[in-house]
Amino acid sequence: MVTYKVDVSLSHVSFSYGRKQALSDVSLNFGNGVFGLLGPNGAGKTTLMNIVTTLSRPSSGSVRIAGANVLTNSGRHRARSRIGYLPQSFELMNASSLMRNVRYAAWARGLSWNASCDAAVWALEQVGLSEESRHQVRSLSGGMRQRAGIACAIVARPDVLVLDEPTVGLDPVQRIEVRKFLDAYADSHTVLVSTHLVEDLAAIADRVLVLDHGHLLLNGGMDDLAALAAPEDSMASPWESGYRRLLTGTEPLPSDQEWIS
Amino acid sequence: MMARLLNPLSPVSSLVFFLAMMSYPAVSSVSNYGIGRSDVSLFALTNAQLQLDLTFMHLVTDVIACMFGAWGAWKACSPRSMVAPPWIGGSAVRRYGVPVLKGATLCALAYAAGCLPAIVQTLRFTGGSVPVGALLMGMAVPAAMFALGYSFGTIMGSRWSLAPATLLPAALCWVSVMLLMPRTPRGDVFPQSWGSPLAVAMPVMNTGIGAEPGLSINPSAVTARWVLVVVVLAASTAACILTAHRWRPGLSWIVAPLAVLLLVPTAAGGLVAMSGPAEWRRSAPFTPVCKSIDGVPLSVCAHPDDDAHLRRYMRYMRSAASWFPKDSVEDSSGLVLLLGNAFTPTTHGQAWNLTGQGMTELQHLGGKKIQVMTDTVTERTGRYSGLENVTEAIVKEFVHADCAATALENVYKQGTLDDGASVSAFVLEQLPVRMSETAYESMGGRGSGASGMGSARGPAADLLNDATNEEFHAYVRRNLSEIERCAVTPSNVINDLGKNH
Repeated sequence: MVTYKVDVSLSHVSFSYGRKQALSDVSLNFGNGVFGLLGPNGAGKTTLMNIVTTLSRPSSGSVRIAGANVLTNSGRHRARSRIGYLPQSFELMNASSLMRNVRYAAWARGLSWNASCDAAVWALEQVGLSEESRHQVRSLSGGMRQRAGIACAIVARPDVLVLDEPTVGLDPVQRIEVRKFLDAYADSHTVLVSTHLVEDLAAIADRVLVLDHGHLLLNGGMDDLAALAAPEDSMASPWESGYRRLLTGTEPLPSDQEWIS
Repeated sequence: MMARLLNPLSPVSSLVFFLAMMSYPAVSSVSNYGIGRSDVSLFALTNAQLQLDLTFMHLVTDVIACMFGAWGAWKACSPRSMVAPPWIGGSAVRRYGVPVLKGATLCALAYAAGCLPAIVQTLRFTGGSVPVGALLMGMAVPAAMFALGYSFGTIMGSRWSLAPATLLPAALCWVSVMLLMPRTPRGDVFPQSWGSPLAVAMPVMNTGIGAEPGLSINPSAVTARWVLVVVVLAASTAACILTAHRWRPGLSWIVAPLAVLLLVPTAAGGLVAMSGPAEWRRSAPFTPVCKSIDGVPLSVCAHPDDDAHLRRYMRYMRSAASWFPKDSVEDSSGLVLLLGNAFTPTTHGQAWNLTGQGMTELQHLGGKKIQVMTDTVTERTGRYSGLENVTEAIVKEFVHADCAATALENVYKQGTLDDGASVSAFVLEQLPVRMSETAYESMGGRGSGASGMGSARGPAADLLNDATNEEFHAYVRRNLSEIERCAVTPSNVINDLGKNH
């Protein structure tokens, strides 16, 4: 039995865009560790992340982050200062140096200008961009830009880090470096990662959440996902096979984890 | 330090915007104040005009300041930005208040820097004091525009925010003209005033049609405008903060920030306008500075601030006086030129806007007084809006050729010069133009080039028409008394001027 310190709690959360139900009665708890979010396009992953990052207000249910009820203005404001978020697509100030971008991001998130320098140095070091800190952002490659975005998201060392496709555009070495960082960061923080790359999650995820059509199909460990693999599916990894089988099945699997608040 | 000052934009982007903001007032300064020309005193405008210029030279700067704000906010604060998007935590007051305040200050300073050439040039040639009030009035508008632009960029969060940021300052100026123009009074105050206290709340614009903004630049107006700027800065920051607090995918959040951004400055501008701190007041009565031409009853008077105009007109008048031998004008009561609308009285029943001492000095000069246009055309100065009008008045005052009166009426009907009267009329018709051209040429300029005044042709008329200004000048000086008596015949003209051809 695994136990977690709960930092994020969603209880019976539903969300709809007009008549389209994007999330349906989802209940989740996150503590320290890496939480992988899997699902096909339109499954509700981005909606779930928008709710966790307080960008969207659920149609029903409740959301608490670090004890704060984010459905209230004060709670949302308190929660936001503890969240770091990397959207799937983002922009940086292209004409400025990487250091300037990350440093301003730190200042904007509440650090003093002097403290922002140390924070930016640390963040760039975590994503392996220390040597490029003086480069203009427009001169960076796609992978470097992606890591620069991660640096901005982590620069204020948020308690809850939400990353949407963080390893897109990274080469294998960079992906391993980012995974290493996330794994280490998750020792004392909550990391929620949405990705289509199952092997990334296999390497670092403490838990995996599989969504489809707004329903939570799986809330368990990577082993649970692998256990669903079809033996005859030799072209895919056990997790990919399990994921595929889960999506073609109908019954959500019950969670066997015990959570504490 | 510099990086911190210019955040969130890069130094290069900031430099481009600063140079663009400074360019318009600087170029206007060069154009209006004759910077770099040979006789700069000709172009050195008065302090009063400088004050006006400083309040309206900000128009292009406003547009660029607003775009600067929108650009900076869009780059750093759009929802897609990873740098300072609305959905992050931390103090939104600091996140938006600091860049707005900093950018507004920098824009105001950039405008002031752009105005420096005009200020220095005027101070150099007029000896006035630094027009701090006017400069502060002018600096206020780019500062407010930056703040509005920054909130546009934050609320819209895309490059499309540049569109309203470009249009808003222009629209405000256009609206101010539309709102204020119907109030243009028919009076002859200087400058011709729009006469509305709204001017202190709106960007002031020079229409270029002689009707200048009726903006009284005094401490209360300056204070009112800066209070308005503070309100705009606060409203813009509040709109940004509301955006940060309420932003979510979709547009449901947009009403509150837009309402704050639009309603608060409008209400504050209305209050400032209603309080009426910019009511136009005429300048206080003054004692003019008067100078006379030696030996000729011709004087020029000006407001003490209008030294540049005084020196310019004295040079014109010395040239004009040189056309008349001293003995020919001794009997004339003389002519006094009053330069500019500063002489226009503030109340009815007053002859001039002068102190008691000023009136005494003016009466002591004697002669006929004419008010010459050197700033804006008004009912009083419209008759003497050009140097040629002045030289015409001088000719009427100093040359008494009653015998040529009928011939002058027919000067454009005659085919040839037949007698002394027609010759005198032909010469007198050309004389004011020749005098003004010579005066302009004496200052290194050029006259209108007009010649062939009068319809007569033939040997005598052609010789008069073909004479250069120097030849004509010498001819008039030699024969002025005969011309006045209509004693010059066409054959005399041929004998005199024909010798040179």
